[in-house]
Amino acid sequence: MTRVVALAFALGAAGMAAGWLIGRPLAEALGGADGHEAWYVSRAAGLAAYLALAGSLAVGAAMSSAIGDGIVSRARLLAIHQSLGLSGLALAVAHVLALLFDGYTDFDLASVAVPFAASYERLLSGLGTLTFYLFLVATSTFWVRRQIGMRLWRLIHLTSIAAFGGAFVHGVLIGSDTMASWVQGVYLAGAAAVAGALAVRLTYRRPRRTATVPVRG
Amino acid sequence: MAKKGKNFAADKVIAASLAGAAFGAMVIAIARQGAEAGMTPSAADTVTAAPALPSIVGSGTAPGSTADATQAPAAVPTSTGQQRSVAPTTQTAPVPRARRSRAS
Repeated sequence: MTRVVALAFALGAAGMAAGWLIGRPLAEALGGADGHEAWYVSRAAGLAAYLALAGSLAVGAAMSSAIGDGIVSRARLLAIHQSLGLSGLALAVAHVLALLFDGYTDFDLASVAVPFAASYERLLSGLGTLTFYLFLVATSTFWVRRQIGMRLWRLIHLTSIAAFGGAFVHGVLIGSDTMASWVQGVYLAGAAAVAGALAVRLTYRRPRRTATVPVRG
Repeated sequence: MAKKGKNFAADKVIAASLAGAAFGAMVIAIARQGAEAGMTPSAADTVTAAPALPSIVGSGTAPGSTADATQAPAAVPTSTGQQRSVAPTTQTAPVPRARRSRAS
């Protein structure tokens, strides 16, 4: 766990340094250096976080349904599930932090940290903040599940499904690119992956193992 | 938890890299889209200047008269961007960016 946190910090620091060094020239090369780079970064991080969290949910549901048994080990699926979840959270943090540097929407630390405190699209912004906290709790409680009890942990973990719904509504309604077809494709792909995996989780019944009883002769 | 002695580090790195790659691809796509389709707030905020209207103050024309009716209405903000550009210092709540972008 410590190594994962250290790696996340190192990657974050490296990303910020790289952004500082090449971000502006890159944006100019793309023709988008118009003073709204923070907004672009925030939207991109939000969409990528949505995809990563959708992937994490889908892999988690597939893992617990045991549909992949015999094809891919559950331990491997768990590793991917956790990695995607942590990546999604990191991208969500980037999504929020980038907003602080956008001069137009006037988000400050309080308005992004406290649900429904923002003046910009109060309801939808607040939904995004709530969604982030739900994902944060659902992800982080994995490491204390023995202390809080498996039953409570499972209940908390299930809230990530509601959180994903919140992320979907937040993104579709507040996103300024929702009308773009490729963005609609991103939303649909994420929702379809999660819905499909949940359907499998609810309906799949793993085949019973037939016990071989030794016959006494 | 992963099996003891096997933490699937490569799978974790690949999954995180995919998320990072998705982020990078989206930054490029959004920046390109913003530049090409004029979806930046600055482009949406472009104000078409309303023609200067003759002042009717002190002209002696009664409100509602024929001369009054033929005149064009006073400059009415036609877009949220225009509203923003009229008095940027007095506006407290930002105008939703989404609507401006979609309109453009």
